[in-house]
Amino acid sequence: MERFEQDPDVGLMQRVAKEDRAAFEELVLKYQKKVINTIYRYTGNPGVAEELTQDVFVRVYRAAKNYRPEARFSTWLFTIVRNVCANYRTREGKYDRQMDSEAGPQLAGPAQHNPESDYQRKEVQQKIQQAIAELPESLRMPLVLNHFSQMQYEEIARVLNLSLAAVKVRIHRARLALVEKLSALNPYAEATDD
Amino acid sequence: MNTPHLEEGLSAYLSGELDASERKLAEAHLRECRECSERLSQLRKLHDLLSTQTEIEPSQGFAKRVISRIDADQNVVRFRTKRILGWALEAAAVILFVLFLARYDRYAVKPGEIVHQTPPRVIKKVAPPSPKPAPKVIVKQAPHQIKPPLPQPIPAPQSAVAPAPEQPAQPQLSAEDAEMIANLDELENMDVIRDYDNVQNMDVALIQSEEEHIR
Repeated sequence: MERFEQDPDVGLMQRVAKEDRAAFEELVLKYQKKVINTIYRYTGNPGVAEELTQDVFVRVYRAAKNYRPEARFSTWLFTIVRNVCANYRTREGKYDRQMDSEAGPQLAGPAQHNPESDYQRKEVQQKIQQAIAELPESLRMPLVLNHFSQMQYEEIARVLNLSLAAVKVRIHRARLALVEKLSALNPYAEATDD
Repeated sequence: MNTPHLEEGLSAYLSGELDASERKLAEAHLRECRECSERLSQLRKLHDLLSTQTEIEPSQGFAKRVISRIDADQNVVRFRTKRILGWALEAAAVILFVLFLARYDRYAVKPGEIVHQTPPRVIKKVAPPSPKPAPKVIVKQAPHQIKPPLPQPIPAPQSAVAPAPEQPAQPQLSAEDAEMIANLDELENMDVIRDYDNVQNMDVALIQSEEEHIR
């Protein structure tokens, strides 16, 4: 893992501490997609995901003056993401698991010319998203950080303040739970040996 | 081979979290354990399925909106700070004004109030001794009598001592004049005494009233 002193984002953050708006905008553009997708997978609502992503970056700016580079910038950033999601969960009780693709951020990806296949694809994606949203809190965030934020186990352990062994166990259990929930979908009905 | 199943090691193997030696052991186990192999297959398909999930993009101008929100928050903070400072200054001014009024009122003279710049002193007046009335000099005229002439004075023998300076001759007053003068003196003395007593009484009255006030 690269040492955080050599992390270029740490340098950007130090410029943000001096109210360098250009540096801040650069950080936002670099991490906005990763953050919004993490939050979207966690909440299941794209509109809420964008609103919470804004909250994350506003917090980043406010905390800039007190920022001390004790780890990689992404580790620190996703600690804020974790806190924002936890506050949202506490505030909302349970969040809306309905995907609303009409409002707010739009689904990226290649456009399908076949409406039926588009519909089926959306159906499958909604089922997968719902299955993720139904995971227990302790299993959901580690899986989301690992799969959708491409974060390694060690960094997930720092962000979530867990041991490495705990992260391994939780990710494995999350995957087994999803396998069970999605067993009705075709990919699992035709599982073969490798 | 009777090695334990890989369990969470499967996910770690799938995620590329095992080091070289751990990966070799895992692969050796997978070659011999059907159950773990089937499990790994399921996990791989899940991984592929999750990877088909379409990512979302932030709406256009997201970064600018974040910066606008930060500016708006800072303006709110500045406005609130100014407002709080304004209130604090107003409160301080009111407090100073109230203190000023309280201090002014303390020294203000109310109608009918006796002002004592310094604590009043109890003045004890010692009554002066009453002046003795002047002796009455009344010359009473004896009935007319022929008095024998007074003997002529015998001239004193001359001595070395210088003679005393001559004193002016005293005017000779008649008996009536002498009586009138004596009476006038008496009257004057009586007026003085009376006035003096009146003044003295007034002072006593004033002192008494002051003492009552103090009490």
